[in-house]
Amino acid sequence: MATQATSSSSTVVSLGNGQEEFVRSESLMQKALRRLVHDRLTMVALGIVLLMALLAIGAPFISQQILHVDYTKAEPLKSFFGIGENGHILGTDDLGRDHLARLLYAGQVSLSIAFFAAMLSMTIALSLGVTTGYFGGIVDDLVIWFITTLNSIPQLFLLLIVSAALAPGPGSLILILGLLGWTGIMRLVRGETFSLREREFIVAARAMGASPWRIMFAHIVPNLISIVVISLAIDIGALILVESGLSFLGFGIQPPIPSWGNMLTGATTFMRRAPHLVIAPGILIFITVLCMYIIGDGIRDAFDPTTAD
Amino acid sequence: MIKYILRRLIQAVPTFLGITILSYMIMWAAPGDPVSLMTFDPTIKQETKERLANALGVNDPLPIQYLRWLIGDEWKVIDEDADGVPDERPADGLTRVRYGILRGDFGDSFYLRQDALELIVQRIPATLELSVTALIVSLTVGLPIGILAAVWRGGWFDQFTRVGAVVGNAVPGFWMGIMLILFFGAILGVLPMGDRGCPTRGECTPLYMRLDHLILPTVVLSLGGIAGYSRYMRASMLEQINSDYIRTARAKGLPNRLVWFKHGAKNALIPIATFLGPTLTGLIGGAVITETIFSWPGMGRLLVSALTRRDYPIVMAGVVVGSILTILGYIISDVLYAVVDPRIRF
Repeated sequence: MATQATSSSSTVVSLGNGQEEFVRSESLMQKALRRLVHDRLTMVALGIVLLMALLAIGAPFISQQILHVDYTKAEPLKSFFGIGENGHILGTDDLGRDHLARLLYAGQVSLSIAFFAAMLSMTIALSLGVTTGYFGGIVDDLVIWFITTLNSIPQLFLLLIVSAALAPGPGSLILILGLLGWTGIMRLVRGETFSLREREFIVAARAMGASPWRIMFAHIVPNLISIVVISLAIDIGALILVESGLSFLGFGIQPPIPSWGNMLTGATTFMRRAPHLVIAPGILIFITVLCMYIIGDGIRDAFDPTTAD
Repeated sequence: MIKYILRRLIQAVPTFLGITILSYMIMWAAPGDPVSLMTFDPTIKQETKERLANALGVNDPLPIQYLRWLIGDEWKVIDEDADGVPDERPADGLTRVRYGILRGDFGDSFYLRQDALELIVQRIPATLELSVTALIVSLTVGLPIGILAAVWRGGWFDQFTRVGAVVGNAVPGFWMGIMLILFFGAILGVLPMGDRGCPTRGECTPLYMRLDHLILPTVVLSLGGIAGYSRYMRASMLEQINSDYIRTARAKGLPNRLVWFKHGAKNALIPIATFLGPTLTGLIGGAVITETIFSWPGMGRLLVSALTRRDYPIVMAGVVVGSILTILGYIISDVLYAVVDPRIRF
């Protein structure tokens, strides 16, 4: 019996002596995953991000059970403790609140805003990009005109006026960042859909009578997975920067809700007196963003068929 | 050539209209009633308020308000006493005739009681001073790094600059600014902690006399540009190095240095022209944060303070002017691309 393919990813190989054996060939996804696991730098970055997320999620437990502090309670007598002073590991701020506990709670805010805003903009970018890229026509022209318009207003100006107009809390800031940040990825997705649309397997699917929606969901979207995952990682990093910048200027998350950005606003006033209050939030932003960029790069390399194993 | 520029300018018209609609709607949704913002007076009489609201047209439907803002309102008849004769409108800055933003009238600032556009335009030189310096620094540092990284591909310099670019992109600009101020301004005390170095009143001293004020903000603002340009230039240069004409030139025995820097780099620069537009946008946006940290009296800082005070005429003037600069940046970069690439015909 000759070699016979049973499915796309496994092959029945005849061994010649009447026995048959299944040999699994790797799909692109499996190959990428295997490469990713062996990429030490990316794994370290992933570990750091997960640790940050875990610390942020565990903020209530850590601050109550381990640090024994209340991050919202202002105690003017305890203000400006240095690092390690009176049991405050990272000192206290100008109102006497424990700095470490506030950093952990701020991590909750900053990380979740960036994550959910990135998910939202990715959903918009993917659905709009695939449909306009596939159908083209007047809707495509309209969307492209809208994107050109949106991109012609300097991004920070746009974010500033929208945030100033709506005075957002964490929830509405997610909406603002998500609804204004999808244009770049949408163009990528649209361009890729354009080129996929002309490929043989799509033409074949169309010839077999597959509906446009089936072609888009079953054939085009799976081929965009790598772009989506890479952009998502980089987008989360970029959104952490944007959110902290907005909050730093006073138009993002409003105190007393802590975010890494607005913690810096207050701290700059006391820069000379308590430099550690300025250094710590910035380092957390920097490390998180750096790790997200490294993860994005690592995934790109893992999916790249031209890089050697 | 002229035809091409004209075509690009005409294409910019719908974009510009879109910007005005979008920003007007955002501002319209913003809280704060212009009448109370403008009068500032808690004891104001209800009828005075109504008269003012009528003259300002805040009770009109949104499309009408937008049109008045866009093209002016001389055509609008205000007749309070209903005697059939249009009322005279005083030139008091609050209820005067508007000429619309298309004729450069954004209204008067609610607080400073001066023409909003004029206030923004006054700040443009300071912003340009900073962003043009940052652009020049980004190019003169970023491009050579990219060329050298491509020439020494895989070597330590390439690895080092690659890491540097990722790090440079990940550092929050405002935090780096604060750190630089803390270190060079507060601790070492060798550089000024902010400000443009101009006297509050009168003429500004020439730029070369206040270069020290320019150093820290330029470093912060050009960091992203250096990181970006070095990566683009490396990719573009690698493409040239692997092409046939470079191989031919080397096979003919030309020294490497000549081939790389004279032949390769020249052609590698062409695609870089397209990044000029996005870079300019990034600089104008980035200047908002940089100007705020370094108390640089530019457009971005005025915009931030106007937003905090809900001084909408200034905000609208700032957004529209910033967008026009951005559109111009994109057009310049497209035209430049067409000029430097001989393969493009008009």
